[in-house]
Amino acid sequence: MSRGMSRQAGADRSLRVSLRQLRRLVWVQIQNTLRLDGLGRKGKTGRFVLMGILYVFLAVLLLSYCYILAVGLGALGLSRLIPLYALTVSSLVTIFFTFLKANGSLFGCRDHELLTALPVPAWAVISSRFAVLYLFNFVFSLGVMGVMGAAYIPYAAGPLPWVFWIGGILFGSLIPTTIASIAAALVAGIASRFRYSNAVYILLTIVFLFAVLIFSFRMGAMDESQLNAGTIAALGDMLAGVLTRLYPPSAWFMEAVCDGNGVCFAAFAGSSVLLYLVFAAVLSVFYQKIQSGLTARHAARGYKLGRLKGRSALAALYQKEWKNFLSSAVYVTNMGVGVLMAVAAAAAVCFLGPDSILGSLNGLEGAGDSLERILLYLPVIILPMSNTACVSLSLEGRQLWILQSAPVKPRQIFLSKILVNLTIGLPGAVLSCLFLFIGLRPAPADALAILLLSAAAVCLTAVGGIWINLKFPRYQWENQMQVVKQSAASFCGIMGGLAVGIVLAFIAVKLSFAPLWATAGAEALALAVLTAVLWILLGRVKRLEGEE
Amino acid sequence: MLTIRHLTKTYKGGKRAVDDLSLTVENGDIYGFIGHNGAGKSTTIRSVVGVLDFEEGTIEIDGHDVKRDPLSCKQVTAYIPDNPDLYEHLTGIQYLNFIADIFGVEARDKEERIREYAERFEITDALGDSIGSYSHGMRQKTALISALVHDPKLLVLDEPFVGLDPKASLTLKEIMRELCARGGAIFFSTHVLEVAQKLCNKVGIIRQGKMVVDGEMDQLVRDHSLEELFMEVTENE
Repeated sequence: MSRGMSRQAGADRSLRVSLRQLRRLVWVQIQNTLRLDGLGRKGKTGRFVLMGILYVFLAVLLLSYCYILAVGLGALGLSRLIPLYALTVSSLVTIFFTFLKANGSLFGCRDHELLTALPVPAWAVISSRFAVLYLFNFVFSLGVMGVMGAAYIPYAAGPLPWVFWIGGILFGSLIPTTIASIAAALVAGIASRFRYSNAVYILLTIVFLFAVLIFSFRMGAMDESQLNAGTIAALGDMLAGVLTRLYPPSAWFMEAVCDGNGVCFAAFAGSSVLLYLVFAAVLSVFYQKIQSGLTARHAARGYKLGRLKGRSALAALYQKEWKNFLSSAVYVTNMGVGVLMAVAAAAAVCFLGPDSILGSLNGLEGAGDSLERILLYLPVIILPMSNTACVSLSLEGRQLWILQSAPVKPRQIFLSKILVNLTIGLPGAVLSCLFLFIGLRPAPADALAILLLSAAAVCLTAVGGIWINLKFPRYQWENQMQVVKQSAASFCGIMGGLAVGIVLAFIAVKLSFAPLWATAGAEALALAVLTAVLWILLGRVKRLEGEE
Repeated sequence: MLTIRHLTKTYKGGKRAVDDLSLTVENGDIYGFIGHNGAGKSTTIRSVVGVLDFEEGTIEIDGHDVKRDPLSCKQVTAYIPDNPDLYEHLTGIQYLNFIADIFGVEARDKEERIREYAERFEITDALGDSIGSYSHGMRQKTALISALVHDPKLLVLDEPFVGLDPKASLTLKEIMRELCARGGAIFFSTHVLEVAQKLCNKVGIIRQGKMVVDGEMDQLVRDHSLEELFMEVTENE
């Protein structure tokens, strides 16, 4: 009896210690993640105020969109769809972006060896990493579901819907974070079994992302026969069907909030927690094996020195940079995916036809010249999101000393990084334009102008990316994810590129009275001038500054 | 070969890491730069090789000012930091090839030097493996070969013996002497005072950013050991 009690007390003590370790690990991870690119250092405050304003602006845009959408649904008498929309939108976005973040957050971290040597159980390490992913996703859910909840106020009967709504915000990101982590664990697990695990990881990640996009696309397609019924109720049923097909747990949440159904909420919350617990338990068994497989390096020995060819310094820098890009799954999947998406979108327009694409988006087929212009601007909008240059300097990290002490001008180093961006961007521009031209058959002059504009957008992205990275460098990091996904430079590079593309498309639509070749040509010229100005400014950089 | 005059480096937080430091390294010199942790050795070295900017003083390498003509200085200098982080995604040979091409070394010279130094450091058979798979010592050897591949006039090394096995340490000392015999110069920091005493003809001791001893080894040490001199200087001041 006493032995049993002492064993129980020992287990309790061990659990308490593990929970304390978990708390500390989470705290360290949060501090590490929130180390905002040197915030607080002299001379950097101004930049971060600007960054803060940009973040707030984008958050206001997103939240305003969500609020207006919810108010609109309510005004149409479709208030039941508000909780459904709130949970589905926040969950799908969470799945997509958490999957991209999981490598570097859950797997492949530099501190893995350090943590493995400590007396910390695998589940605590996994939970600490998962908790950080969850916390950031929770903030996103809080924003999206918070404002949509505000729009739902007039339709809520009594306090119970609010209890469930708050529960939805708390538990809402648990299932998507777990699903994304499971997918990432599967991809990492499969990749770790191969000699070229990195290449396999990149390939599987891209396949998964496209699978998610195609799934969303197909499941999101509307049933036009239902639309033809012409009633708001039919529209509501159809949208509810689409959303619950896209994300089944949202049906439980809708019934919990709209009908005050506690059983549905219990099913929603219980399944969220249960799914995570099963995931953590199963992963903790394989975690060490996956980590070892992903970080293992092949060492063959027996090398024989053969003939070595000479290259120019620029060629050497370019090849080094290109190898660096291809060697990093995080870098390729986050910064290269824009090119793949642009080509895929253009191919869809080409093979499925523009009416089919627009119809599946929102029943907008036949909406005219404006939509055709927007489709032609797809490469200009999507390609700048593939901005490898904007993090390329930060990714030098602890190896920056090599370039700092090398007898090459900073601009030559910048050029090698710009050329890598162009190597993936320009073929992407040509290919996506080709698909669009086959599908949309624009006039030759319009086609030429769009091609030039796409190429100019890629060039501006690359040169501007270096400029951005010089303004927001982050050389001290523990895993590349902190640079590629969480740094100010990456945010400015990706969102800035997207914003420029959207503005250019908006101008083209607004100036629909003018011939497309004239608008796109003028825009291409403007981008070329801006690129040239930035290139000249880069020439004034005399030395690569590290972090002191 | 290397002249530092009144070098002062203050970090952004206000800490003065190097304070009015001057020294000269002539052709043929092996200059040992010693001091406690945080005394300012690495800051001085990083300023010399152009990794760190500095606000006061001048540094000249082979007659060129490092601020006004950094490329000429870097072209004749080789630098290895105390913890040489190399590109882990490259193989050893790819890294050496990269450095040689950056310095514009002719293909034949490159091949010859890599072959020679890789054999002397006994690392040839591992050159085809990725640097990520290397031990600390192998990385250090790779960094040393990359420093020698362009036949520098000035070798600037921060704690070069850390992580090297005894055979490799001996090889490095031989190579250092050979380079100086050819008219080159070496400026290196170390905590291994016995090595500094045997290897160097000049020594400088830095304490809290200030140079407290600078001169010929023979004249400074005389009947004492360098260790005794170091302790005397750093404890008494």
